[in-house]
Amino acid sequence: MQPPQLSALNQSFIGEHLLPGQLGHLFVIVSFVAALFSAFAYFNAARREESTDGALWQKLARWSFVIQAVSIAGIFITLYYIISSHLFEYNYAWKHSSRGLPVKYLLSCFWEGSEGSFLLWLIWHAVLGLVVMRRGKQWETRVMTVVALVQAVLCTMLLGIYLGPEIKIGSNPFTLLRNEMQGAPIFAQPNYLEFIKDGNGLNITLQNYWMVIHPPILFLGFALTLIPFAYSVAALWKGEYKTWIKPALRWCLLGGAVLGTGIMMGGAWAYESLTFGGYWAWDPVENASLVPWLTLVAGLHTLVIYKSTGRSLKTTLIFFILTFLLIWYSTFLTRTGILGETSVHSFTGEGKALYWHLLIALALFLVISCYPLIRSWKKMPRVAGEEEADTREFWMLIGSIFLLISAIHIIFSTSLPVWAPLYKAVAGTDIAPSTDPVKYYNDIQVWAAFIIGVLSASIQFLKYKKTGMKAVWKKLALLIGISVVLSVLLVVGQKIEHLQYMAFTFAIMFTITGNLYYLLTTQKGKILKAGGSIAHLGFGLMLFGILLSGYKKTVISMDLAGANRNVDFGKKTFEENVKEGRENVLLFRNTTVPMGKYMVTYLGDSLVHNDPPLTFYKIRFDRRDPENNALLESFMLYPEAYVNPKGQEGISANPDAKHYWSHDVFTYLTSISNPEGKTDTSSFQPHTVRNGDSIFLANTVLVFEGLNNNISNKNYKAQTGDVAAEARLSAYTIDGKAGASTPVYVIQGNQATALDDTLRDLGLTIRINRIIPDQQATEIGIRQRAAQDDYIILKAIVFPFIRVLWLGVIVMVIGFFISWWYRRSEGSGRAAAKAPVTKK
Amino acid sequence: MKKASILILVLIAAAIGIIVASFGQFSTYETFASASEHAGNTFHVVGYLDSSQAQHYDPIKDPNLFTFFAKDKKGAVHKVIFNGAKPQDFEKSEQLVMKGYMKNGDFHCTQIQMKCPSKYENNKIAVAQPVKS
Repeated sequence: MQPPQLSALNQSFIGEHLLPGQLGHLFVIVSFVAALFSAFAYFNAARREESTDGALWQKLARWSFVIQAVSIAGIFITLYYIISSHLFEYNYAWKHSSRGLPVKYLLSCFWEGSEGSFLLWLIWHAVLGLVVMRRGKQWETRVMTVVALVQAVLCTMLLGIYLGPEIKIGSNPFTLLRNEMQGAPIFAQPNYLEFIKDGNGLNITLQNYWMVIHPPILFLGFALTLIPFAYSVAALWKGEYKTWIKPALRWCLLGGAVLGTGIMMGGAWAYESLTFGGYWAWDPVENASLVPWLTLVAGLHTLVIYKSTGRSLKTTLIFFILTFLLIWYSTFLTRTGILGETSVHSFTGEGKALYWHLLIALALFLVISCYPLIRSWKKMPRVAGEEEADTREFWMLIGSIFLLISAIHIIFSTSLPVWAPLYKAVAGTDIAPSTDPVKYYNDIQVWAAFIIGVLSASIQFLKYKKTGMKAVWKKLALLIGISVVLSVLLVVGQKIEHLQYMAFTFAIMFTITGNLYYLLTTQKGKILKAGGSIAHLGFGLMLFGILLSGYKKTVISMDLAGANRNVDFGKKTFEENVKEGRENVLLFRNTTVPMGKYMVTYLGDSLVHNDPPLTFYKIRFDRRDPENNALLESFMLYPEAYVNPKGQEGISANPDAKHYWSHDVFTYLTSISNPEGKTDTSSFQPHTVRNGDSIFLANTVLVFEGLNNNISNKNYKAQTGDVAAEARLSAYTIDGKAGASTPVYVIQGNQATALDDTLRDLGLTIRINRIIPDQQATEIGIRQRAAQDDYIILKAIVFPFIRVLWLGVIVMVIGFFISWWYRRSEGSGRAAAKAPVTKK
Repeated sequence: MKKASILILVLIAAAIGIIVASFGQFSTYETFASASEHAGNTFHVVGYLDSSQAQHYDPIKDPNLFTFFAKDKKGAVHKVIFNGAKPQDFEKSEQLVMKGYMKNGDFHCTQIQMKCPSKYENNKIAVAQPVKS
């Protein structure tokens, strides 16, 4: 990528719309300058508080922040206009959209590219900044200094300006295709746009409704971590550590709720549209967003400690600063391509420029937060005396530290490609992630979840500052007893065999019963006050869903026929060898194969004329009573696949699942028969028919119902001078009517063409060979694909109780929101009564 | 020293301990040659598809068996036996990261991660088409 060359500028091109791009670029520059000036003005306003000068600076700062927000909106609208008007002279529209893209996915084009996702982040920062501006009161100037500064840094990501020929700062979404791909011969022609008929299109895995809502929610979560960070810096700067608690706490609760929702929506998307068979794979991209959530939740708890006892102020500030830095670090990990081979996500890799850009941004944020932290370290208020071990604050701190330990473990392991070169220099070997990453993370994170779950259920029975332990032990003993009984029942009933997961079962039961008990007895079901317990209960349910769906996940598509083919996968026993490699099953059309409790039949496929075309496959699952063969359960699943999309080879599959309250039956295609290759070998068999005649084929009878001049076939596009006739044929199988076919015969001048029609379920292609008017007959050509040429390869998995997981997530998020709502007015009273005891 | 501080220090020490202990589970990137020195152990091997030799995937016979030849970074070519369906767009991969172990000169592989050409490269291919037409 080189800066635009003069030769390109001198040439004029036909059909380009240059105004939106120039406008967009202007908005980018204005938003950057306005954000930077707003930060400067807020900084001055904060230093001259209580003076008329300060008030003037504040006014300037507000106006420039508003101008900045308007410009961001302008960038968004301009880019949306470019994408929705299909202006393919713009690189962004060409690269990420196409004409055939459904309107509902136009927004998804924004976040396929790096620039669009930075834009999304900017939008949320602007919105949140406006809210803080309105409601920040005495904190406005300082908090907004930080917010506007961060916003200015983020704006540089879109600048796309060159410092010299090599260094490019940011990437502008409004560049023209001809400038991005210089040297391509097509741009030598002034009318090049006539050749660019369509854009490259949106990645098909992103064409899913979860992908419309997951990125906005996730980025709102990212943006929300800025506010507690900004409040932390502001508190350090002001040297006032009391009145920031309430707003920081509420923003933090909102951030926990939204970021948590965003992460799990990503899991739901992965579950519904990717084919790794699950919602969580400890993939670096997932980890990178989970880790800041863990530290944010840790900070939330220490802030509650500080609010109630005056302890853990420094810890809280560190957690909030760390959370925000981790958000930027995860952006660094996922955007620069540094993760390389360790992630299944595909990265565009913006190259070295973005790498250094993000590192410099990270360093800047480190300085603006750690400098005031270190400077004020000794001046911060603290509580005299030691914490007692029987207090709530002590154990809450321990819980928060465990969240941190869990986060450190995840981020350290995820960062392996970052520190691997260093490791190689010291140890001399090329270190790689564990060959079984799921086991690697679970082995440690299950124990972290164990400790955090147990603490979340028991700590609330303790009081702040001093607790009489006798009553607490009584309650805990009761709860432990109940949980042990429940978990023994579960371990036996669900056949849980590993010690680690037996312990995990106990922790989950304890978390659920403990929080329920507290909710019902101590809080007496007062929902509004019980946000914490409800969130903990949701956490417990979530862990329960993870245990049941993860531990008892069963692949039912076992290729039993191939079991004796004896491929050695290096497992100890024959059975394990068989299991390892036999998870894909081949199904011919109209044949039935047993899978687990089900008899599974592949009934055929159907094509949806989308762009690119999408095929769905009809698969019936039947479960019969083994005694009397009565049908107990029968349902259809329609997994989809894009077959050879956009010149790629093979299929890109979307799974489908049948949801029951107790389990999901989840299936997707791993391969299909070559749709073209083999069918070409069979030929059209001619049949001469008159009205009402039947054609007998294998499994099927076709009834010829006559010719018609009203063409209903959608693939026929009328042209002037056409004489067209459509035949109508109804297909019957032993199950009754199986569809109708309408092939078309077109005479244009002295040339005749036939438009074939297909009955894909039956493997039939039907064509009118010729019309014989003197005999009042028609010759129909029929090609029937042999069933053995038509097969799919399928993988099917049963996930038990995955709904419990989603329920847990929802309950947890509701808990966050209840706390957030409850603390809008409350808290001030309680906090004032227990104002932090200060000692200088 | 405070009781709390001591406990916190112990926890941090435990965290470092856990992380150091987890080092044992990390794998290494090997070549076919170094992987066969530890036959039976599972490693990551980075390599490239050798398109001059035949691939074999016949789902009618066995939907879970795909074999091909790969060249590792040192240039050694070995047969790879993958227990699964042939991945999409396999021929276009620039690089393969294969997880598995060596046995009798073949690499038995349970997972393949493909590095495909970046989007930008794809774009170049797509742009060339309208010029021809």
